Amino acid sequence: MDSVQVARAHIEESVPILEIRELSKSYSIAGGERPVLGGITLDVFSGEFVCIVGPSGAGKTTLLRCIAGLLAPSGGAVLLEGQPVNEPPAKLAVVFQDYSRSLMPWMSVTQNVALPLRSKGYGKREQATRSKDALAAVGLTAAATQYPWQLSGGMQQRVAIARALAYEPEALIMDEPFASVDAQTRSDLEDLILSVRDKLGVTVLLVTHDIDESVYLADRVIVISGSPTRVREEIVVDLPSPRDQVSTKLLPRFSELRAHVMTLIREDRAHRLSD
Amino acid sequence: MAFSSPVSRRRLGIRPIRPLYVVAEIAVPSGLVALWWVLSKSSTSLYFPPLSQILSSFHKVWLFHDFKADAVPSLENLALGYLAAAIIGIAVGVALGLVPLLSDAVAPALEFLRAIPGVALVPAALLLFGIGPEMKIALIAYGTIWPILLNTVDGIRGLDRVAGDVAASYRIRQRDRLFRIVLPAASPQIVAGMRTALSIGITIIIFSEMVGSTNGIGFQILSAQRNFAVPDMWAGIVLLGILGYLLNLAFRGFEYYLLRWHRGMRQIAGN
Amino acid sequence: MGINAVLTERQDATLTPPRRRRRRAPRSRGAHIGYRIIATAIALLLWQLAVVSGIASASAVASPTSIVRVAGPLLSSAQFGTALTDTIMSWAEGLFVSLLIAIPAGILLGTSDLAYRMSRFTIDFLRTIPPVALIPLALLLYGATPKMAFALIVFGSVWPLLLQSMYGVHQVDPAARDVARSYRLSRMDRARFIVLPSAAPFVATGIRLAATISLLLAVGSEIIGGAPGIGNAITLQNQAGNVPAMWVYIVVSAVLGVVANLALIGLERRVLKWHSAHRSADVA
Repeated sequence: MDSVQVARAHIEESVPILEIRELSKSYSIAGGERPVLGGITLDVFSGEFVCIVGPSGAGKTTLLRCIAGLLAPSGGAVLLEGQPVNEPPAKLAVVFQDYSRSLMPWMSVTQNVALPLRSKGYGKREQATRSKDALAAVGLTAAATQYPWQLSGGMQQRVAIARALAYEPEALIMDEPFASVDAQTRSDLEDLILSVRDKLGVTVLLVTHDIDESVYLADRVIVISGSPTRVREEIVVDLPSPRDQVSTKLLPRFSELRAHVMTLIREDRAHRLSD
Repeated sequence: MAFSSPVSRRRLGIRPIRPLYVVAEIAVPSGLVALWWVLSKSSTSLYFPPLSQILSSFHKVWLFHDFKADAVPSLENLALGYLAAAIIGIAVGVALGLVPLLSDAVAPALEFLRAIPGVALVPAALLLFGIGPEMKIALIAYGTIWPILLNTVDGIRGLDRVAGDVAASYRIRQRDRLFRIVLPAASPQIVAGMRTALSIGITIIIFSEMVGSTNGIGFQILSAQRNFAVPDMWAGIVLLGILGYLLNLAFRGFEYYLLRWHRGMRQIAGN
Repeated sequence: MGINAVLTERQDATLTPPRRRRRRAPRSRGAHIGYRIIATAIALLLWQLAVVSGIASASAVASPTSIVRVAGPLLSSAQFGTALTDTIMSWAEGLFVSLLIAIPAGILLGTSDLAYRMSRFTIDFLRTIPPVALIPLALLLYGATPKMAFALIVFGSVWPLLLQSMYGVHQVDPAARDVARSYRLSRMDRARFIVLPSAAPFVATGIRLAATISLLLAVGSEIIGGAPGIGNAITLQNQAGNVPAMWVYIVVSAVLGVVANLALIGLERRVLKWHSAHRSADVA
């Protein structure tokens, strides 16, 4: 088997863990309806790393909130393991873009990571163990007793990722998680999330506006168009695994995929501007 | 994967203490007191007696002769009224804050009630309760509850959207949501309300003692004035200045402890 | 540290209600007003019931209906007009003079780091003296006259305004200061375009605080000192046993406070519309 097939061996092609069917969302404003999502259909398979990439605008976050059960769609459905998502499901964990607001500043790093575990019903000792393991997985064992605001941006986002991991979800949803950190930290975090996915086998759905990031991370890139947001194209990323910031990005195939995505987005932007 | 080193002292906003500034901070108040002493030394004015006289009055009256009879009741009544207002204000404020429809609807009524100057209610309170501790406690409770209640509502309603998202998406149970997310997030606002309430409370206790009371610091100052015992009057004013400052200091200590995280967070953001 | 004491005050800017899981259609403005009217009506009804049933003694608390009944003739009487004018005049005069003193002094003190540090403790201490404590002194010096109220108001409202102005100037964004220096702005320009606008929101809050305090002190000195005005009218009506009339005056004093606050906020919004507190709330 070549490296691409090896890479995709762990993905169970026949089991979509997340099914999104004709998802649409409009807001009523003075004078009618403003459609934001215009009927999105896609599947995410167990163990996959899917990146949704598109131009900056209202659509991506709205889509993510609908998938995460934080927003009720106007039409269509989201199914997690066959069950309809009407409220935030227990098997989904979200990592938000703004780490400074998603972490609670009055709690230490460990307390932040353990917060959802209390509600899950774990006892104190269980919470402590799981938090410790999660922090170790993101390399933050030394920062366990510090407060989020004492840490750098990249470290804070790691805490948020640790919290999501401790929650033991089936799927991890990430909303432009690395957009607010500097480029070098971003590379570190990208590699972190890849290694987490490889070690723990969790499914990841990541939304980003960074084309390079989407191609680097994903098994599949889903390009969405501007408003109303629709799926433009699904691109299988046949790059070898494990990915590396230097060698993978040197591959000609990387440039091709990147160019392809960039072209789609440019076309879409030109198309919208000409309207 | 290496992670960045922990934050340095500088980043935590601890500025080096310059000796000049410390000296300056002490110098001005001490200088002013010394100036007062010197200027009033040979004063024959009825209204502005020498500082030495004021201090000896202070010693005679407040240390500790009248302290028990006047200062303690004042402080007790203030404490009881304030505590009642804090407990009820925060509880009701939380309830209202969690139901935005309700807090929106009662907002104008509450704002109006808050706008009634506590001093304007003293005559009515006297009619209702007569002279006695109940009148003062009730009035202080009334005057101090509004900033606490309204600030609590604001604090609860103003919960960061992302924090709310986290609570929802991680399915945090209701009790934890209230006590571990909503209330801590609102605490800076609530404490600000409590601070405003403290100064209102002090104003009301002194004022109500001047209008209708047979004891209390306010009563003591006013009756000293009526009897033209001017140094005694000044001694009472000095006591109030000191007590007011100490109460503020105590509150600041409480705030310091409760909102450590908030302070740390803002210092980092400020840098 | 004590500076912060006067700063954080209840914001009147638009609140962002907690995000709901289900996004409902935004409620129309009419519905909002409707709920408020209903709630206020219920509150008035409860008040009426409390007095009528005796829970709130009618010898101290007047029911809304009796207040309205008495208000008609009272509000149009000359006696009311005089009392109202007296209070407003002493309130306005005292407040105005405090502004004249406190704002320039605060700006000067805030500009120099050394001066700021030197005066901070003293001003902080003086601020915590309850102004009502000085009522007996003011009575001694001026008797039961408008002058007494004036002196008290000025003393009481100068401190928060002074502190706010000092802090406002002191906290000018270092980045803005750097811009001024690197473009070599003159001192006048720096003051006009960087320092003053930056300090303006704090000064505005200070003015609102001072307005509330000075109203309280105006009414308070009228009640104790007998200076003419609403407070004095409250005492007189109280002594005459006209409970509803007394409550009319109490309500009027509250209305004064509300009107002044709204007016100041409106003015602040217009003058400071560039400030983030008055920009429309973020739609995340």
